[in-house]
Amino acid sequence: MKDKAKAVLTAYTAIIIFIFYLPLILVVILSFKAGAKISFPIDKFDLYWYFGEPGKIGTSGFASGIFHDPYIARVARDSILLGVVNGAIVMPLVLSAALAFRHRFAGRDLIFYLLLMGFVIPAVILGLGANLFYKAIGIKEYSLWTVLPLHIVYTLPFGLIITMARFDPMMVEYENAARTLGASAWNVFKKITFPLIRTEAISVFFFAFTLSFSELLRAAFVVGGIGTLSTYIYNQMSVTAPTPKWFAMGSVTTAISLIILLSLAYIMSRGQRRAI
Amino acid sequence: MPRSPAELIAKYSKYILVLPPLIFFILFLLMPTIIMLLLSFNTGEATVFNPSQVTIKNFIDVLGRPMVYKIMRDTFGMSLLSALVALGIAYPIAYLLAFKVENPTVQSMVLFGLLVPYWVDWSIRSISWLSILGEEGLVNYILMGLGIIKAPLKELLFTRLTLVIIWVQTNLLFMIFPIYLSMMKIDPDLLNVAKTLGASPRKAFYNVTFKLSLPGVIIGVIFVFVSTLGDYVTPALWAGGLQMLGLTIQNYAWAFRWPLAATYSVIMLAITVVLLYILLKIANIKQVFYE
Repeated sequence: MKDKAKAVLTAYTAIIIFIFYLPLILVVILSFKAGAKISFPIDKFDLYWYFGEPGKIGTSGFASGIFHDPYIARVARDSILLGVVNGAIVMPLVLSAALAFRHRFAGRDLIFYLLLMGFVIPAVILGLGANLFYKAIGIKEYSLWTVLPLHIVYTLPFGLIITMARFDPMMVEYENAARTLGASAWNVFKKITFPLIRTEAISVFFFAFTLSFSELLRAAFVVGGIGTLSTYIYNQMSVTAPTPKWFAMGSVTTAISLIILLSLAYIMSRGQRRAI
Repeated sequence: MPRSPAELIAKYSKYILVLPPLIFFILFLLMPTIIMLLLSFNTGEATVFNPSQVTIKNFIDVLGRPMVYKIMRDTFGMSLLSALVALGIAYPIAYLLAFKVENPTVQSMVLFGLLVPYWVDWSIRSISWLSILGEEGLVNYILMGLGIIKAPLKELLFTRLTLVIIWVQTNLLFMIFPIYLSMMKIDPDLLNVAKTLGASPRKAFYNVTFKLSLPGVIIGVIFVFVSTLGDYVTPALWAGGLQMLGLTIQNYAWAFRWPLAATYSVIMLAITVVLLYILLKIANIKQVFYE
């Protein structure tokens, strides 16, 4: 009886996760499709949208494969850089706030709700607000880095709730015990607190990177230059019909993200083993 | 009375720790919102607030248009509907992960796996719906191949249903995660106690599992609700000309009518805050995070 319920739930979850993955799966499959239309059936597969025509290096952006498009390499690199920097800033901010929220203090609820608002405020409003804020303080030139504060505000709350919900409730007791035994504040953090929150730190980085990397709605209001990957493609979409080229791009960035994040996870977990 | 430096640091550490994120959010969340609020009382193509030209003309104009009320109903209605559909779909998945999967490694791998589809860039993911629901998309291709339909279905794209499908698919992660987190906080002993005391499985589920997971449910509903509210691209691409508040704001901003864009934003934010307040009355979400 019980196992039957679990089997039904598992089958259901597998179907939903398949649908959840469907856009990604189609992006990868259709990126190898010959021809300019993103449609079924697929008559022929080739690598045109990756490498362009053999022997002919494209100079115009649209016709060539992504590896010969100078803009694409730049926006992809910029987006990954933005995601990594965002993760590196959000992680300590989240840990800092989450550690503080374990204690009672005046205004705790208010500050907690303010931080949550970063995710809860509708994207279009956060984007517009930041745009007007920059105008008001006299910033006229937008760049990749004018997007960064918005992405920090947007990605911090999600990291915060994952971290706080998973904190070990005994952590404060361990810290107090160490302090009573004469450990310095720094030693308490290094020897007790940090090892207990290391996993949370890693997940916060992953989430912050992922949410920043694929963000369009907020960035579109304050990005400068040729933009992030998302804003660049969004702008291209309004002037040309979609081709499998964008799908080739999605496949490559997913592969790159996967490699970066898995190697980071590997490095961090090795560090963890050494610490214990 | 703390005396040593270590005790002083321990006493004030919570303030020191909360200060960096607080300052950042005052600067980059609170200030922009206030600036936007101020600018909504100017008119024309003003970009910086001018105190000598304060007027409530924008609000009178906007709230005087009958169209605006239809847009508001569509916007908040579609977002709330998407949040509820996502809740129905996500709840069993969170339940399976939290209660039926014992191995924590499997749990983390499934949760990590839910992140992977987001590494396809937002814009590309948005285009990919053409290849799924379009006239020459996968769904029509399969249905025609199976002989279920003769001609491709055109209603798969550019309808309200399309919008709900895409919004639910895009935001499922933000629903599964909070529910899963609040379920992980439920003491399994409580369920055993309920059963020992003679509660039927259905009653035990409702009175223990569901009620204690309610904070996560509310957070998930809020997350999906606001994520869809702020989305001005999906409605423009796939909803077949359905006018939405987010889209209206973006159109005015792109046309340099900043004060009017700000006015619509202020109205949208005010309604959102009221709805959030009502949702937060249903469950105490803080209990998931701190005592």
